[in-house]
Amino acid sequence: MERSDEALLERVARRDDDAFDVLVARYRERAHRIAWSILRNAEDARDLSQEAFIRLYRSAGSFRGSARVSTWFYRILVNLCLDHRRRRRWWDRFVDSGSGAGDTALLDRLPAAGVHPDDDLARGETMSRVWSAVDRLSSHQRAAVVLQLEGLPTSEIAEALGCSEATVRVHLHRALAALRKSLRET
Amino acid sequence: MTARHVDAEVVPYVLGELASEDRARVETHLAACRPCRETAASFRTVLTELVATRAQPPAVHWSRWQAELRRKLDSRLERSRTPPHEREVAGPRHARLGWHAVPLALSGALAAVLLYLAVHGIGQEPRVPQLVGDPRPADLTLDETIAGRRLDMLRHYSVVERLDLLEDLDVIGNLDRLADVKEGRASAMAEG
Ligand SMILES: [Zn+2]
Repeated sequence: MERSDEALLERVARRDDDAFDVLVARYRERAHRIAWSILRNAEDARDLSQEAFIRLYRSAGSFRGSARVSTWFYRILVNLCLDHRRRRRWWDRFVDSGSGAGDTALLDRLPAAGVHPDDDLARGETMSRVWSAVDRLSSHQRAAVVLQLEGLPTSEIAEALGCSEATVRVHLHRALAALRKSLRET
Repeated sequence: MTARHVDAEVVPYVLGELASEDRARVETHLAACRPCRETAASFRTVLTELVATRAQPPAVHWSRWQAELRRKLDSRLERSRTPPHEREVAGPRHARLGWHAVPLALSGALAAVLLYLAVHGIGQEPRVPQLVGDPRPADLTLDETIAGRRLDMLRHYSVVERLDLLEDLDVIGNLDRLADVKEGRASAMAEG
């Protein structure tokens, strides 16, 4: 049985639920991780990663094969996440600004995995600082960084974000410059 | 060989995405140009830090997650098969909004304008805030003054009340969160 993404998606377009389940199992962890990395909210990450698969199911028939299935899917997912973030940003700023709780909330949202209790404090502080700075990047810069860390080449990040490779490089350049500044701050 | 800096190529160089010829050219430049060399080194450090301190999302119970996805998908498919007048309110929030989305978006934008006017006043503060649906990147930091004034606005309960009248579900939904986050302030606000 053909198990390539493209073949599976073709079957999904014919409403083959087994093929859909295989595709979901193949990409759900990564989709959830990307959504979470962009949104930093467990509930939103769950909802939007599921929503991306629902859209994949419903629009499988419109896939034209000009990109890889995975890239096409990441584009659906990232668009959903960026839209969501855009809609929430205004309100979040309003609620968090000046409350003094914003930084605490951010630290709460930073998950502990990757820094074990016996890791040194400095590592934890670096993590807070650099990832707090990631939180402050523009949505596209942040998405570019997240997708880069997922191991996507610039060409695929460009397709996922719907922009040119040169634009992705500009996003990454600016993001890295901003993050470098956060690392230098003490 | 420092005549032309390699700013545009530092990122692809650090990511290892340059063809060998370009990589050699960039390396020659880096050997002779300290600023570009430092930029490349610092970008590499940042990437290393990001990878080393990268956090994993909270654990997910995947069979539960997938069952939930299946439920949502079935309900959405069911919805699309049911004539609009027979539909019950079901499915994810995005779907429930349906045709309400347009007036909601408009009322959201209006609410944002009202709040903007409440915070900044007419004819003051040339800086335009990020409004609902505004695609501009907004990595501006808020200064203390504006943050303080935004909080002051919370005390103008009439503004919040206005939002309620506009039936912006997003905003109303978030008022609960506001109450959680700012218990003290929220109760004061309700009294005020
Ligand atoms: Zn140079």
